[in-house]
Amino acid sequence: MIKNNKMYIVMLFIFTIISGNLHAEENYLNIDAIFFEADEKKQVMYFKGDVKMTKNKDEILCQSLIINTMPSKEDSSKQVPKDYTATGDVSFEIHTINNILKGKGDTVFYYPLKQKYIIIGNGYLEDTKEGKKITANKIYIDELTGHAKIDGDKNKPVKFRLKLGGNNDKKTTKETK
Amino acid sequence: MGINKFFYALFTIAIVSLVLEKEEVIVEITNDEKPKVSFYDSVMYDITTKNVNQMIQSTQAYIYNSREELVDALIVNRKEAKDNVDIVQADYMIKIKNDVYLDGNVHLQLDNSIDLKTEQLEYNIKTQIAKNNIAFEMIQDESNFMGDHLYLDGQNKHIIAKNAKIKIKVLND
Repeated sequence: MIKNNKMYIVMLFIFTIISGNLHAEENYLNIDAIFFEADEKKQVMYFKGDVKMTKNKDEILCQSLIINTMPSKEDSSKQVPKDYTATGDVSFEIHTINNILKGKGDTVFYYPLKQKYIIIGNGYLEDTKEGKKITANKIYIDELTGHAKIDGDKNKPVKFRLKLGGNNDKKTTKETK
Repeated sequence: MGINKFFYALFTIAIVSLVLEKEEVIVEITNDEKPKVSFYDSVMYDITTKNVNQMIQSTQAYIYNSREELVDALIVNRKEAKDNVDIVQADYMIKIKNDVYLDGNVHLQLDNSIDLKTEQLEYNIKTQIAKNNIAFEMIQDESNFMGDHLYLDGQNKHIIAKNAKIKIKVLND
């Protein structure tokens, strides 16, 4: 009985350490670039040249990245990212709960609070789970709803539903207006 | 006509080079100059009627006419309006008025939020501007910055660096 209790405490301890580490890792954004500038007064961070941004398994590669920041809700003296603008040979890989999305474009916007991505110019999106590939001038991705909207070149908006791991995305459907 | 253009170009280059030369900070150290005062294992305080503004600690301190040289030095500078202090630490320092040239195990702590480590640094105590062109590691709040060719304006929290590797804490993501 005592042995079992000890085992239980050891397992609980290990689990606490592992989950703590995972949680800590999730909260960090790693960015490598040839040039970096940050101005807290202007609330902006600028990265230029071979930019690589990673967060856990998610990755974005580009030539220029601008991060607008805002005061943190937890501590107003600290700045946290508000939105991201990646330009120049942008390619990315996003890992959702049950899917991996790969994309490319001239410019990619990301709004972390709304969990929305917008790909503009030579947009390409690949749903690796469903094996679907989209090419369009503008691609809007909503991680919360699992919905992607595509604007083509010929004024024919196309809606595409992707399985992103949201609650209401059971099936993959394609609508053309 | 061609010769005129050449002379104009030459004149312009000469003027530009003169201006650029003026911007450079040159620290002239003459080896034969003897210090006015020498201290060993000393602590110097800058005391006002209200409080202690600055503390300089070193194993060797040499006071010359226009500069101070410090070995294993630590400068603690108190902010006037805040309770925070700035801490400058290095194996070797040359202090000329508010400009400090730091060499070896440089450690700079500003405003209780910036923690910078490098091997060489130019730093102005008053403007809180730090510059270098070698590798550095810096922690600001809970974010990590690594790179080289640092320009840091500690007052305005303006940072420029090359070959940057940055780890930023995202609280709201």
